[in-house]
Amino acid sequence: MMGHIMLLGPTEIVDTFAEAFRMRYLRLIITTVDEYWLDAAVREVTGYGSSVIGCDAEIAVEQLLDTNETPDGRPGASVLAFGFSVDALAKAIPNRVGQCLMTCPTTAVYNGLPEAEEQIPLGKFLRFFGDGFQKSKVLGERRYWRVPVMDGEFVVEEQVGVAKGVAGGNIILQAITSEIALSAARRAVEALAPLKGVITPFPGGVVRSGSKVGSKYKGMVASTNDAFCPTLRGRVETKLFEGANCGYEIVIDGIDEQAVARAMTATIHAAAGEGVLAISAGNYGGKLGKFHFHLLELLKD
Amino acid sequence: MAICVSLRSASTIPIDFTGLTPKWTQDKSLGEIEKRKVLHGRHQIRLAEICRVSGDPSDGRMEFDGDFSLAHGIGAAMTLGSIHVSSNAGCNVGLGMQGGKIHVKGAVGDFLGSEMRGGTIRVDGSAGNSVGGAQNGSRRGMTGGTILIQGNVGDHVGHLMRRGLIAVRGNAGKFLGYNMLAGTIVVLGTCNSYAGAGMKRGTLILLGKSQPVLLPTFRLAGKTASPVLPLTGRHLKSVGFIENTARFAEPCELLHGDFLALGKGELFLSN
Repeated sequence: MMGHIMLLGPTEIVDTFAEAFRMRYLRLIITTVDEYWLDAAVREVTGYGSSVIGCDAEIAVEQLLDTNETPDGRPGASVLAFGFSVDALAKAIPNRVGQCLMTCPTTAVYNGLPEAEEQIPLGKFLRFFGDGFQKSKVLGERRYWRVPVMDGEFVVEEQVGVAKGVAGGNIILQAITSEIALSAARRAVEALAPLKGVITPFPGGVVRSGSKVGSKYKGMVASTNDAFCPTLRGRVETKLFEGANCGYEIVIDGIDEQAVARAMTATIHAAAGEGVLAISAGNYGGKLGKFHFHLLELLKD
Repeated sequence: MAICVSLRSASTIPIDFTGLTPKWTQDKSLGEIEKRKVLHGRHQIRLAEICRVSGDPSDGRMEFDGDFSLAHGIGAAMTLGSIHVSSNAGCNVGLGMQGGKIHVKGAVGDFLGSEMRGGTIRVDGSAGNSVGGAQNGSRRGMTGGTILIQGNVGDHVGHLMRRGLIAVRGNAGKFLGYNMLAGTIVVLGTCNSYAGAGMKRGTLILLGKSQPVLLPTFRLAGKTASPVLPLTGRHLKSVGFIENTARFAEPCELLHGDFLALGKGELFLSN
């Protein structure tokens, strides 16, 4: 570390911070008869779920689950969904499960946060698709709805727990070429795969259209982060390093502050390397988000 | 330290322990507990005349030490705490209980968990008739809670049952789920005839090696591999009732009935 400059190998870690927000999250446990249909199910339910700027939820796969980790002994996945409020999730999730999972062959959906204080209805609404032929099964303290469908039964838990999470942790990497930047971004996302409690909801876990708050156009809440756009260098006050021609952002949502911090640290270590000139983070001057993740402090531990 | 109740001498006269619950004893001294009146035959006598009482009742645990085959109503109407019976127990164990846990190491008589509303009963031995059923003349059997029996059970198990779970590792007698209103009964052994007679709703999961003689008022739907079966198996494993859930993962035949009643009941039969 030199003054305020820290080097991780050849990569400079900028003395800045990521600004993250308090959001509500829930966890769905999805099971299917095999991995093929599991893949189909999670692709469908996590679609159009990158950012709450324009989507009803930020949603992605947290972990793939072994058969001995799921409630019904089938292959499964845990999916985390983040929303602005409990009400927003209560609206978004039954729609997504109804349209994307009930329709997918062999799926069943369970509550991944049964101990959470707040619970929102899931099967309680979806059961009505059964048109009176639905049945419920109570095992222990949990109620499961069984909706008859053309391949048997769609089993869905009555409710799903909601808890407080942290969304918007991020890093922004800058590289000499797009190939190097893509490779670094993929390394960063792969480093998150074994970590529980975090998701990267954007395509492949990577964002190319990092945004700033507001716009010159009325009504736009966010617009392109021009300071990081290489084609605008010379026209705007750039934050790109000399020689950087490509940047990507990795956005991380997590179940708590510690999970996001761990994930950001892992991504920084994985992304740094030859041709990656700098790693910084996106913030809004510290005025909007409750959680500030200072990159240099993350790397101290 | 639990409160321990043991018989002073073997008796051929039935004793009724209804009301002697962990909640009632919790704030009482041993002297007060010993003075409690219990039915001995048709006479009310002090508990101390037939039983020795020792220990500390404050932690909500009770132990019945010895053979209580003729002691009825153990744990009846209990709401919290735990009761452990070291050997056999009589009828009406857990009658109308609302919460807490009962564990009987030996066998129990009729009406185990009859009309219970919550809590868990475990029996390591066998149980008599009308497990989780309604009392004579009553309109509903158990409406909640769990009954786990490692041995066999008699007839009319789950009679007029409304909600809850009964699991039997051994064999079941006739009229399993008789006039059942809802709830779940799992039998891992064989099941005698007339299973599901008069059932309106609810689920019977019969995973014995031989199929029972079924009533003609049940209709076959077909084979199914519903996730609800492994879900049930995993739940039973999680509460320590079974070790292996493989039988729940196999596809079962599904039948609907009893069409002499409402016909919304279901019967899962292993092949």
